[in-house]
Amino acid sequence: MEELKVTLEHLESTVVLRAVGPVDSTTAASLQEPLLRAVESSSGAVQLDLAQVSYLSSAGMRVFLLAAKALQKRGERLRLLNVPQQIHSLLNLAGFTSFIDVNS
Amino acid sequence: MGDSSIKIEANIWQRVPGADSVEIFPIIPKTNCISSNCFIFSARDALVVVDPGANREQTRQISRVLTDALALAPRPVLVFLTHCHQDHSQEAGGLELPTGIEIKRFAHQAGVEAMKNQDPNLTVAYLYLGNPGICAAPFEGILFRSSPESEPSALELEDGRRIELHTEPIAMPDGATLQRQWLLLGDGNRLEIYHTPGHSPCSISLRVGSLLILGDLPFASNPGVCGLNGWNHADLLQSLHKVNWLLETSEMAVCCPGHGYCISAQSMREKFRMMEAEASDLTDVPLLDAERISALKIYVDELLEETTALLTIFSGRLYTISYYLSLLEEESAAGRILAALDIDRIDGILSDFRRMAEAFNTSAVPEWTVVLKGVQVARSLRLILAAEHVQQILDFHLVDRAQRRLLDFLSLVHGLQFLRTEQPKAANEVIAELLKRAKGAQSAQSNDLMEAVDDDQAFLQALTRRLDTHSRLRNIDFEFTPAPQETNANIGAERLDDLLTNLLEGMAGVGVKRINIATRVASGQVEIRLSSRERMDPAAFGKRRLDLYNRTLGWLGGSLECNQDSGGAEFVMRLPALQSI
Repeated sequence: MEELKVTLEHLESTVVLRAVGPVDSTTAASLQEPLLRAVESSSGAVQLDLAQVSYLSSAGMRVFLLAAKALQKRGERLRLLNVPQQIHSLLNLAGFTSFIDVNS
Repeated sequence: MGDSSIKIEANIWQRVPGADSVEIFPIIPKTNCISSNCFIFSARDALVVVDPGANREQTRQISRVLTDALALAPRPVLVFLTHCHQDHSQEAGGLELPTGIEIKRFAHQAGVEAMKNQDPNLTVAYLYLGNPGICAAPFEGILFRSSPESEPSALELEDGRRIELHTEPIAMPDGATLQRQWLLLGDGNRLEIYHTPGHSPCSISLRVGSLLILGDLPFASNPGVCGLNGWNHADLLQSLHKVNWLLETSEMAVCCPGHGYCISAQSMREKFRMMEAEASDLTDVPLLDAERISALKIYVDELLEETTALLTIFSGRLYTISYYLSLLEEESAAGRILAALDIDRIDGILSDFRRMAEAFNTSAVPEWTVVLKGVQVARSLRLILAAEHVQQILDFHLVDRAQRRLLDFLSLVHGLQFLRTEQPKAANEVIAELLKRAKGAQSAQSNDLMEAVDDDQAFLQALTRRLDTHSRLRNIDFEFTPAPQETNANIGAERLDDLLTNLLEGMAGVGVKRINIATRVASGQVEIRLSSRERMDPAAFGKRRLDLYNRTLGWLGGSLECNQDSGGAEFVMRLPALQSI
């Protein structure tokens, strides 16, 4: 069974998380915990690199939503990096690109 | 009527309702198509095993239960098969019993012959990977012989006792006959056997007291089950009618299917009534052979990708609405919106299925299992989406599209024609309505908002709809060049709208801002061209989704072509013009 691995990198004023694997109902918690912790513990920007995410379900979208809401409270937006085309398209069609910055 | 409060529990001995001195030990594994339920009866003169199944671990459990019961009172063991399908019969020769215990096996004549001939078709062994062994054990008890030798027929046991099999058909009031045989289990208790073909010609049902074992009759009209080798529409309708009559007129309390839990006779009657309605349409079901199952498996993969995309967008839009409601400090409304659709459940169903379908590629999961799981998923999702409040929250068009796709899948697995049942409409007209819908939503929603301003609840609903109309297509510049001729094509209006909407939304999803739509009629075909001068990677649509659209159009004699060059990209949909059919 495919698992999700998340690594964390602290840059000067930014935290970058890199996810590898599928983000679905089984694995979303593995992303939620480090992402929300990064949002709460950092005062700078939070970026999530999805270059190696093979699949995103609505459970993954909910994690993005929670992070976006927490960041919005301090006037920041979640930034997704290297988003695969198919996932970018889903996020776009779901309206997420109106409150999350998405870079392919 | 029977007592609907009686419950039959798995893995314990309990009294059989209506037969005080007989006990039953049901083995009910998690529902699957690899191995069936098994029911063990303990009576004074015999232990009876119905459907050993096809799982070695289950066989060991049955052997342990029998050995314990035999330690208390040695008796012959009689094994019955509700039918000869592999998942019920494979282990019929695998039971391990204490020395000196005699075993006799019984099955319908057609099933006995199929197993004797190692027939992979009637036993449906062809559905399972790795050529699993077909039961080769001897069957001494041949039920419902086409030419009975003598009545009653008898099996001699080594201790000199005889098992007499009596044949006593039941004349029903409408003139039909329910074929019945029976044998004695001791203390005046009978095991009655009824011939109930349809799922298979060798299907039987067995009764002890007021408990009826039905084998796979309750699933015989299911998509992915009907059409299996030996399935027969007329026999199935007859058997449903006869068993329903039996349940109605006799003191039956509980019915036990070949897979899943036992239910009250009353509930089974209701199920049979629904089945009779469903089965009445199944007149032209094609054979569900290995080739068709392989084709369906591909369709299941494509369906999974399409449905997952539609429902992920749907769920994502709910999350988007909840985000904006939160910004407006409408947290409770945001929560209500999310609670209205069980997003987690939908996601769980789809994620489980996706993982199972992936497992198929790396392990020994039979294709048939994936198809049956697809049927289960499609039915579950259809129920969730059919809830009235789901339709009320937002974008009923998206929900309808998902519903139609799931229904098409179920119809296809059933072997029914589905795409030609709708009214066709001119392609020009369908496109014009689609564009009107995409562009017209905003102004209508604005009016809703103004009208609802004095009512908090209505205002929130209108606001939700307004947020939802942050439409995928609203910001696209369309240029539509309709063909001057008649553009009726061989496709229902809703399916054409679905395909076009999916493609246009897909283009919007990858960032295209301007789309030209043109229709043309040439060489007996209606051509619909969706093109953009902007760069567009068709891979972002998902290969399987495009394959699905191409396959769907192919069934109708059409095609979908995707062209891409440095100057842009286009989809070209071709369908036979209706006049040329």
